[in-house]
Amino acid sequence: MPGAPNAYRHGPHHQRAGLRVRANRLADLLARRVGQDHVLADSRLRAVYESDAYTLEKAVPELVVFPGTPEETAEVVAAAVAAGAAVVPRGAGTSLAGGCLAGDGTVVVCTSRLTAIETLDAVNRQALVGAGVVNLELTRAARRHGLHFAPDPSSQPVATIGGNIANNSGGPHTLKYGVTAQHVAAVEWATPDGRLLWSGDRSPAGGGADLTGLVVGSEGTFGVVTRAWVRLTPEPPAVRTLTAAFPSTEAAAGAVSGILASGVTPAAVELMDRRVLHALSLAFSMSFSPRAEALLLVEVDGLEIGLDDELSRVAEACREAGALLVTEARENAERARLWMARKRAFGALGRLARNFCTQDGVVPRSRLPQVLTAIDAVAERHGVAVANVFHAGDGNLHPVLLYDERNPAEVEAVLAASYEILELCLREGGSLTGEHGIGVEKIDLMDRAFSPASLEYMRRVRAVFDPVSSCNPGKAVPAGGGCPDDGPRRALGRVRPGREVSL
Amino acid sequence: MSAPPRAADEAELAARLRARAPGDPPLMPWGSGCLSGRGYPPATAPVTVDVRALNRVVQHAAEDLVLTVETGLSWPALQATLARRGQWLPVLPFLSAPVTVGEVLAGDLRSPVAGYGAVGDYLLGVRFLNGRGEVVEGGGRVVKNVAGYALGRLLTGSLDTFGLVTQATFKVLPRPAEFGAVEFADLGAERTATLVETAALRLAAGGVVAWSERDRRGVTVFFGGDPARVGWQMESAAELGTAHRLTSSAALQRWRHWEDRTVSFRHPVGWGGGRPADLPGTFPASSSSPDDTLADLLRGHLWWFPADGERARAQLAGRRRRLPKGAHLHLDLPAGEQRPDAPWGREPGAVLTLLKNLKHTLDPDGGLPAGRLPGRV
Repeated sequence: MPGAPNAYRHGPHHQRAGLRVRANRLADLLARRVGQDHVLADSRLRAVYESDAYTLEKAVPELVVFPGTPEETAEVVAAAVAAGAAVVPRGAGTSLAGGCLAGDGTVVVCTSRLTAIETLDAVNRQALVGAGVVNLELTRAARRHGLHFAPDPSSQPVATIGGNIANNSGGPHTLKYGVTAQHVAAVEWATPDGRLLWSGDRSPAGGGADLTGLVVGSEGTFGVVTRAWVRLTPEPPAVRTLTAAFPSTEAAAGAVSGILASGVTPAAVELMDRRVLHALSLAFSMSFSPRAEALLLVEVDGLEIGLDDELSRVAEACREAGALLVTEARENAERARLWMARKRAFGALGRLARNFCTQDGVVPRSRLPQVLTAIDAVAERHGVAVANVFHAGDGNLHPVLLYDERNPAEVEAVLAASYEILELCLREGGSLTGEHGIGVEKIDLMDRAFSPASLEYMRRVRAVFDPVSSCNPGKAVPAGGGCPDDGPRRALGRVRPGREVSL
Repeated sequence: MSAPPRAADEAELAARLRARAPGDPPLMPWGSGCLSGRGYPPATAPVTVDVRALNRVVQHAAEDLVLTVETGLSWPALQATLARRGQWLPVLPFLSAPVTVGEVLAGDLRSPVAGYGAVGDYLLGVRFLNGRGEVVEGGGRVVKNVAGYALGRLLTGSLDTFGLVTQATFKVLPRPAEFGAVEFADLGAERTATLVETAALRLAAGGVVAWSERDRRGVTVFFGGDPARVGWQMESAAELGTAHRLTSSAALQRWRHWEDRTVSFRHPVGWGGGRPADLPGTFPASSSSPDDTLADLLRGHLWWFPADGERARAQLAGRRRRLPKGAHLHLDLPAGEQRPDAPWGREPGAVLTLLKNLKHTLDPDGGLPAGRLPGRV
């Protein structure tokens, strides 16, 4: 209701739309806290933040703010919430599930200025970092001490530690080294009422609930992460990498079980199918076996002794699964080139289509061959081309659906196919998301994955951290009780079951 | 003390929770009893229910390296299930005490050989009862999963305050073919630091344990892997000082002995942690001190074994004052013993209100134990 300061904190989304008329006032207020240069109010500039890497959906935020310290972050969050806005945290905006999707009534709080590596304690193998520190930059800093930050998503050259924490990010090497939650000792975050809280401290003393583990993966719905104590992992003394070309994607996927059954715990097992290999050949002039319908990229690491034996066992498992050709990358340059290709595969797919939607689901590893066949069938049924590049060792699928966003029918087909693929993952005993998060993309499917009692429990957890429903609303966990999600998706209808997109 | 009533299955446990009337005491699961002396006394004396009949192996997807069990199963039985398929869960892998899976989770119990991580690092999913007896699930049965909040993490270490876990799903690993250990007499702080750095960065040790037992002190480095690798690791470690190599069976005996010591049944156990590099020398032994100690120098966990409860209570404050900055020491006492005024070495601070709100919101009817955690949450 106009004139009522707290009118926008609760209730249907359209009440927040009235914030637009007060956005200038809020912008001035925030500028006094962080500096004029660090508040974007101009509509052309705000449009840059209309989506993250999930480009199927777009919505321009009211304001974008760049606090420079944790204290400024807390002040910004408090001011925005007090003005009735929702707060959407954003690091580098690499979320593939719309985790940073903003829109009417929202203030994007961008952590890209929180870039301090305040402490790098090599002896205790820990670092205190700002949320805006880029993942790869942390690893580069740690490498000087023979350490690295183990979670290595493909976006690591730009993704931030805060974003990694929000999504409990993974990456290829999580097979051996685990996901972000295993590498975070404590998290500081700005609460909706403007406090800065720490979930714990860097000591492993324990005692009580693991608040840190609960905050990691909460997708910005508890507040804005500002800093963290992270754990650093020793660099492996030695690495071996091989590729195995297979006559089918299913055969390549089937090799995963054999590799694990050999007793080896690889550092990474990645699968790329023919479409991806074609894109890589176009993008980077790489060549692969002409008969290869799929390629496994497998890495083992650790002590030099015994590593060749491990690689041999992996190679043997690949051959037993029908590999056409198994090749070891004998030079560091070759290894680096293979990983460059793998990590830039998504970008390379831009050679094949104007747009693509990267899905993220998980199934038991033993079900990968059947699931890949089923995914092909889904794609064919909807007339969508699909490319597969994913973490086969974890069963973490990334079917990439290729389309042109200018064609509404193709967009609809991609959404429908995505939905079916995720339902397939659930039927196979898997998960809706291995590392990208629920965001807005999958929130409609959460009631397929969790019972009403489970979702209610999660809502109650969220309500404790965010009593006024102002932190990244409409993400991660669906609002219950028949109320529409109070978030930025007001402009979006529904296809399957009827969601539309803003084109 | 008479034996507590026994729940036959999850449904019966849930029924007991649903049958509670307002004001009835909360329900507390009973396994081995190893956690009964941890933390503050419950705010309201609970009704204890023996849950060890909930002991099924629900699913062992060995080719997926995933195991789902009911939490009344003993931890040794869980490890034996895995061992039959050449697998292990490298947290307390050699514990022989009949601690249940639920107790390992509720207490976030850890091993002195901690290079492989903590139980939360392997926990994929939980099924639990809220205070109203409703079944809630978090996580799942696949090795990567970020759907929903990490409820298993909230429950780990929280002494059943937010839910009674009835099933847990873990990721597991291939069991090493060989184990070994190299033991050094007391090296002094500087050489110990060198040993730890070498063990962590160059030798991929499974654990580095500084110990004092009676009037002897030393550091033991543990390894696990294929025989050739373990052999090389032990040889390389032995070059760092005057070393005694333990056979595989002797190494495992040490490992098991220390894991069993960390669980409190009839003796007090101080436990906690600090920065790993600060720990060598934290518990100096002397010929006049009857107290044994352990410190995991890779992750920073520590244990203190006072001779008896009276000594434990008398010495606790002094022990805490002598800890390095940032380290904390908690104290568990056997059931029935007088608890210390401050059993927890660290209280919640600014997050206390949030923790209390979590308790109030997630368990509004008070069906679950309360008041035991730091901050009396």
